[in-house]
Amino acid sequence: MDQLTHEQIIAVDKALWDIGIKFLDIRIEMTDHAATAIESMEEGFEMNLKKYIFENKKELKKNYSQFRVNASIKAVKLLFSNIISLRFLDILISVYAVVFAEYKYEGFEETSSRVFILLIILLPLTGMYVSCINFIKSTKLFSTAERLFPTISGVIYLMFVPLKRIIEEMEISDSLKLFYYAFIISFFIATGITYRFLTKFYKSRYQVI
Amino acid sequence: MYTFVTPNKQQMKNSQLYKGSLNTIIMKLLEENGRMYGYEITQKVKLITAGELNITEGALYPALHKLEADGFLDVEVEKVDNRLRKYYKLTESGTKETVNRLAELEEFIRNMQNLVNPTPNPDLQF
Repeated sequence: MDQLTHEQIIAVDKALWDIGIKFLDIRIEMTDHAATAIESMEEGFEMNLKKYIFENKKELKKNYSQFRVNASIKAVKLLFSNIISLRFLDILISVYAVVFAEYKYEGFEETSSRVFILLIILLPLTGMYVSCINFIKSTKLFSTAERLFPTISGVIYLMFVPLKRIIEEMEISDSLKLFYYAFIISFFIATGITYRFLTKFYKSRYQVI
Repeated sequence: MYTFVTPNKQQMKNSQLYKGSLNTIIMKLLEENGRMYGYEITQKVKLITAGELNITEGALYPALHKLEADGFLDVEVEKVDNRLRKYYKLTESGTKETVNRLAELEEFIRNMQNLVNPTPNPDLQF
């Protein structure tokens, strides 16, 4: 059949969305694959699309689930490579300086509870923000960026909630305990920067405004 | 027909032989053709093997994404025929890796050939 029109391409994209292929970066590739396959078929567009989806649904979903796993791995790898960068060291030193100044002024107990409150507020707020963005831009979500926050929020939660008590009960200096707080806050900031970087990267690659 | 996704036992047995070589097949095609998109790769493989080997989406794209993540492939996205198309091409390290993998595959084929169809050793004959 003839080359697909813009409207037909949108219909292919929607059909892929309907079977659960949510991330835009993989959907763009799958839409092109499906459209090229449909163009090489004999019947009309509607029939070809239905036939293609019916015959390849299992494969498309398998590809997508593999893609989701890889996206999470990629997100974590990227974040950890950012953590061993000089930029992260800059953030860590700056945050530590602020936390240490607070400690000098208010003492350990006050600083500790303020950091705790800050993170307790920040984590759900960020979660809500990301969920809202995901809801608004539901058809324009990028895999690695979207997988970053749910994955990392879990890591931060594990680092903070169970470890906090253990670290506070340890016989170590206040400076080291403050370093631990500074590290978690810096980790959180690094996640935000990585998220922004990824979103920009994908937008530029896939020409999405 | 051999497929990577296999509806029956006989085909599954055959596809296992190809699975380990999928990355090398992709890299070899990219080495020969410069840059290619997913569908083009599947069609090229089908053409070369006279329809014997059919690479499915579920096998091809995870392999392409893995090669990209490993730094062996580079990606270019272009607008073609009302849609965006993702092209893959070998990076510098990908080109080197292709040479290594092809050599490894050739060695494997030679060994398999010797095992399956051994030529008699003249030193051991009367």
